[in-house]
Amino acid sequence: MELSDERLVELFQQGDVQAFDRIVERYEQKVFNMAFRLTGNQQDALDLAQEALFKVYRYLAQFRIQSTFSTWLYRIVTNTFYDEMRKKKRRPAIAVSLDETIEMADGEITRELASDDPGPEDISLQQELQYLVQRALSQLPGDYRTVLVLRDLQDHSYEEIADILRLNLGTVKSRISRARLAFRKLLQHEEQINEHWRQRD
Amino acid sequence: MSCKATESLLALYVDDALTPVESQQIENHLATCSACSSLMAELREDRFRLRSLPIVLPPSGFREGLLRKTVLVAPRKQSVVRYLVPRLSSLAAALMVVLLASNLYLFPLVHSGQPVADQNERFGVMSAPPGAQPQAESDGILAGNMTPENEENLTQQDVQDDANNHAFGSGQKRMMITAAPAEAPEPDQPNYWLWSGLAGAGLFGLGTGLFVFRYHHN
Repeated sequence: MELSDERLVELFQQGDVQAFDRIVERYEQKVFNMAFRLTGNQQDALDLAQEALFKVYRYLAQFRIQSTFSTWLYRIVTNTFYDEMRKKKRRPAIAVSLDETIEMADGEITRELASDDPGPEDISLQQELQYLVQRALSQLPGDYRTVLVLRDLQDHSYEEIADILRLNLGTVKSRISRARLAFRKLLQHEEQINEHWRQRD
Repeated sequence: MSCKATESLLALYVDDALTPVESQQIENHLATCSACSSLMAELREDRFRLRSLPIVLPPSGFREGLLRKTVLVAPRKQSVVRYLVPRLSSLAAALMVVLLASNLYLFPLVHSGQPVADQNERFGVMSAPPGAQPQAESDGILAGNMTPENEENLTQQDVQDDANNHAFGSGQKRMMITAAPAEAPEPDQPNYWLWSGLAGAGLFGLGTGLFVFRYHHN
C-alpha cells in the first residue's frame, strides 16, 4: 500500500519515526542526483544531500500538511545549496572537483567523472559530452544553476519552480531564459577547449 | 520581431512555454534569420543534453549514515506540543465537567450548615487555582510538568481568566442569592466559590485556548 507523502508526514508528526525512513527511501535518489548536478562532485553532493535531508528531519514536525511536501523538500535542498555556496565562496567557481587540475601549458588534464575514473582513453564520446555539460553547469551562477536543474533534470513545471523558489512566474521565465543563454556560451567554451586538447593527442 | 527580442524568448520557445501567438512570431523571425535559427537549434540541443544526463545514484551507506545522525538528535520540540494539545484540551474539558458536577453536589451541602472548611479539604485539589501549587496527588500533567509548552498555554488561560471572572462575578452573586441563606454565610464560603469559580474559568480558558491553538496555530 502506497501512502502519500502527506500521510507519511502525518504519521511522523504523530510519533512514528519510521515514517521518516520511508520518506528518505522515496526521495533519496532524487535528492542526491539533484545535489550532484548542483555541486558537480560526489563529496559535495553527499554533504548537501545529507544536510538537506537532516534539516527535513529536524523540521518535519513543523511542516503544515496543507502544503505540498515535495515542494518544501526541494526548497530546503536549494536553500541548503545556496548556503553551502556562500560558505565555499573562496573556492574557484570553475572547479568540478578538487582533484582536477587543468594546466594550459603542456600538462595533462585529469578528470573526475560521476562513476569510477576510467582514464581519458576509455571515456566514451557520450561520457565526454556529459562531462562537459556538467562542467558548464558548474560554472553557472547559483540561481541559474538551480532553475536549469529543477527544469531539465527534475522536470518541474514553471509553476512548481515558482513555488519551490518562492518567485513569481515571470521571474522564473526570465531566469530560465537567461540561464539557457548563459549555459550555451559556457558549453560552447567547454567544447572548444575540449576540441583543442583532443587535437593535441 | 528583432533578433534581440527573439533571443530572449528562444529559450522559452524550446521549452514550449510560449503562447501560440508568441510562437508564431518567433517562427516568422526564424524563417528569415539564420543566426537565430542556429541559436535555436543549439538551445534545443542543450536542453536535450541536460535532460539526457544520467541519474547519479547515492553511494551505498548514504541512507544509513543519515539515519544514524537522526537517532542522535531528536526532532524539534514542536512535535511534543502537537502530541499534548489534543490530549490536554480533552483533559481540560473532562476536568471542567467534573468540577461543575462537584459544585452542583456541593451546593446543597454548603448550605446545609456543614462547615465549608471540610468541603474545601475534600475538594481542595479541584478548587485550587491553576496558577497555584496544587497537591501532590493531583493530576500530573496540569500540575507538575511545567514544560515550556504548558507555560505558554497558561498565559493564554490567564488572559481568559480576566475575561471570565467578569462573567462569573454575576454568576457568583446569582448562586448566593438563590441559596436563600437564613443563617449568615460562613466566612469561608465566598472563598470557596471564588476559587472554584476561578478553577472552572481557568479550565474553560485552558480548553478554549488549546482548541484555538490547535486549529489556528498551524
